[in-house]
Amino acid sequence: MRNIGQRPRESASAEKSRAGRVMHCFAVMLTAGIFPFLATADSGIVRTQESQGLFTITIFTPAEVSRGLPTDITVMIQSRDSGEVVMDADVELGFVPPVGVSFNPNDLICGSRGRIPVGLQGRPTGFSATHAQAANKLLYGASVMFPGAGNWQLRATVRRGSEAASASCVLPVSAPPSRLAAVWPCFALPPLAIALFACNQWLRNRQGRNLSGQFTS
Amino acid sequence: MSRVTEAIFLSWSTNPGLIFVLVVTSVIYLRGWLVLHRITPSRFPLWRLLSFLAGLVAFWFAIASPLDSISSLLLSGHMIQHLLLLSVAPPLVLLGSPFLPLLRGLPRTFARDGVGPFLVWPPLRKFARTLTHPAVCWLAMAVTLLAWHVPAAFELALRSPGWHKAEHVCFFVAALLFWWPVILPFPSRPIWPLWTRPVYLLAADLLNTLLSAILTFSEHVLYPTYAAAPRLFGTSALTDQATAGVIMWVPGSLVFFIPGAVLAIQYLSPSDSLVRPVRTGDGTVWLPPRSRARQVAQRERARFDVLAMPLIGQFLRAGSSRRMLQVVLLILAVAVIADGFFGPQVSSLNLAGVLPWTYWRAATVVALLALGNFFCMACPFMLPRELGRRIGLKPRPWPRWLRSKWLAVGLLVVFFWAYEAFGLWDKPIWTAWLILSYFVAAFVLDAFFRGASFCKYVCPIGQFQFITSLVSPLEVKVREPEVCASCKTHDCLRGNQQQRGCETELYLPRKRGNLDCTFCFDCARACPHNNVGLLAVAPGIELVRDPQRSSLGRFSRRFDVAALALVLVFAAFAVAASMSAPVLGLEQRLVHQLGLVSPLPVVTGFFLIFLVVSPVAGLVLAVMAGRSTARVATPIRELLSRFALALVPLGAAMWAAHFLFHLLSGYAAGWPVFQRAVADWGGRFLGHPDTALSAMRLGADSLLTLQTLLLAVGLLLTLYIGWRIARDYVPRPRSALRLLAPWAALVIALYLAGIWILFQPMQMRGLTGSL
Repeated sequence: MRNIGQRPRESASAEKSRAGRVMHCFAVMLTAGIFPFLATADSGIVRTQESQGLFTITIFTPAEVSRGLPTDITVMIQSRDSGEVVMDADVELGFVPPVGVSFNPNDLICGSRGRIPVGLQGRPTGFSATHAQAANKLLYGASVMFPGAGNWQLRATVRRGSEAASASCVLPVSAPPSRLAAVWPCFALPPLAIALFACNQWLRNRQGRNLSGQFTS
Repeated sequence: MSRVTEAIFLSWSTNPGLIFVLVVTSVIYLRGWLVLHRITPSRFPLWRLLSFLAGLVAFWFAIASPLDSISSLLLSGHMIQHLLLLSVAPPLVLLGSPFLPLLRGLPRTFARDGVGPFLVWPPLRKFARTLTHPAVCWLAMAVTLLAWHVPAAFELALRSPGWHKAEHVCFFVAALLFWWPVILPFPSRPIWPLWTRPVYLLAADLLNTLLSAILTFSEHVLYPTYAAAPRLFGTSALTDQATAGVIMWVPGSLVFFIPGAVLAIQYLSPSDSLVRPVRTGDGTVWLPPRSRARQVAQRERARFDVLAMPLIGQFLRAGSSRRMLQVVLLILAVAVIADGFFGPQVSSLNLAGVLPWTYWRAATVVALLALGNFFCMACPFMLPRELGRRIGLKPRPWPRWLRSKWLAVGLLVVFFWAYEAFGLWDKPIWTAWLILSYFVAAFVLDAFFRGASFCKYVCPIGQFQFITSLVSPLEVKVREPEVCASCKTHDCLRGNQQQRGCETELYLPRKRGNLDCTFCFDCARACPHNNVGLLAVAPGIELVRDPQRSSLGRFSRRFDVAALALVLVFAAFAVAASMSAPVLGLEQRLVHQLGLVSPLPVVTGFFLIFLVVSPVAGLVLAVMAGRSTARVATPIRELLSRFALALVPLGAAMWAAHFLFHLLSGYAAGWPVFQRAVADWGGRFLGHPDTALSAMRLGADSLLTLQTLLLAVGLLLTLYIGWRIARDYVPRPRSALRLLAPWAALVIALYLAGIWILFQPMQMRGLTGSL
């Protein structure tokens, strides 16, 4: 498994280029300071990229995954040799829930079908990822609602004919953020509109007074 | 085409909010452009319209096309996206001279009274002049371009969808500012001499060249995301970065060079064809020639009329259209009754549990708020009335003592109580009985009494439709009041040999608002002067005024109508609250603590408090407090009647938020239930019902955003109507504010209660997937 937090190896020529060095240091300092272990794709980050069998599998997820909110998980399958995107594979996503997370039967996994059954802690439960569920049709996607916080283990299994490969990663699922944070602009709308209306009324009164003053004078 | 290429071309993202904004902007621009084009075709030619629309399409293409999907994998794709946002969409939009068309495209009153005072406010004009100063514009673009290409900022945008949107907004706004002094959209004036424009563009190109050279010649991947992303088309990350640099350099420079050259040639050319700014009175407001402007103003006064539209207008006016819609709903009603009686008694698996409570309620409220009272038009309960008439019963007039809304108020209170107390939504057989009894009641009442007595005085659904349609944007109205002044026959009310008149006794020239109007269009068909239309109106405007209304009188004297509005508004909150977990928990605790066998007394108490006691107490206290502080002599009964009706927009918004929750969380339940019902009746051709399809796909936060937005709009419209009513009684703003303040506090309390309810966990009715 490739550690995606590592920077790409620099070439020898780059070391010699003064301008390149300065620019590189600048870029790395700024980037590493903020996102030390993250790289992104499809509005998310690359969680893992593994080459196994005939395939190279890359798993993307959002940077932050929260319990109880729909989360898009996408997978890109490429031919290991040519790098061409593989479009006709079957991709199954499997999950191992964290220890200590209990489930309700109604906790949903969104997407085509399937849900995490009760009491299957420690055992993976799988369902399909498809192109139809991904915004970027080069990827295989599924929308998942994690019913519990903690470190989930995610495994993508790829099959095409008799060939099979899989990649896995750990997915930290956090407690959901405040729902207020998601909808605060809607709360800002009424006070803003009322302030604008008050301003409008004040201006109309003022302009009306000025106009009548002009006529009387 | 290979599968990979095909997949790329299919990778469009759907963003309903963006599409809505772009469509509304286009419609407003088009509306204004049509007016201005008629006045001065030379200043607003067709190419300006096309340019503006092309600008919006370019913006949408940048945001929603496969470019957006691919931009996270390829920097070169991302660069094309940015080029569209910086150098294609903004100049095209500005070439459309959008300021005046957008202003003229807004509703006249809103443009004049709402936007107008701001446009002539000196500080704001000074700010606008500063903002569009060439130095400020150039710097805005330069800072934006440099700041967002710093790797940390670029990575932030790649990592977070929110920051990515912020980046795009920054680019688009900065580019609009940048291109402003170059294009000088009418009626802006040049601040710097015209010869500076090519220099201005050249300076921008130097900056662009610097950035693109860094990208092109860098020997390192500047943005780590692209180093880690899977490689497409056999390109390395460095090659991709160099390609992005070349795209930024060559097409990016051409975008500055070509306009710069054109402007230089124009400036040096002896036949100066530059658009000169038109100076008028205060230097910015441009007035068309008077006679032409008057003609255009007259044409503008002809409001949007659905009945005048081709096809749709013909369809609505045709007598058979209504019957056809009624028959369709009748078939659905029969299916619901049959499945309710004989199908599985599980609401989420039964047509009687899904069709009325998940689909129909949401559809009618959405139709009411977006269009008008189209459910009453297609109401299947009207068919028994026709049957009664065909079998030769002699109807008598509706008793005089029952000619008010009090009976309907009582029925609505009972219905809301029964709905929750007996869980009507959860018992298909009860739903079937309810619909069946509705048919029987409609038949009995309309067979024995004249006109549309059932609709006007009894039908609880009709009263809901009537009250909510007071905030609908469409209204059945006369087109030209002068024509009605000379009319002697009054066919719209009395009817004629070919067509009956209004059955709810509304005389069109004195009809105001949608109350009691069933959108049957009998009046439109009966009018010999073709003077009845379905016209666009400002939602809720009829609540602001208090004229004498045909068959209704003044709203200020209709306490029964006010009571009806109060019940419906407070029921919106009570019904939604009663399905939330905290309220259900509280009810259960009370049942347990009081040692009750059934929750019926607790539910009854809850509905008594929230449908009867609190509306009356809250409104009376608020109005009395406002009346005494503002020292208004108006009878309290009159104030109560008018301020109660002003609550309707907030109530309608709450109903819509509640019903949309059911629709959007259970929208997929219909098909498997329909498959199941057809299979039960012997038809296996639809396949086996797949109930797992019913899982909620819409993001919980998207739904909550939509709901809170609806509630916010309802709150604002309610407050605005309240303010206008207060000014009606007290012309001085300060005293009006005193009259309004306690009532406004009640409104805000209701809004906050609505928000609290929306944030609570809800029961997921109609979700087969949750079984």
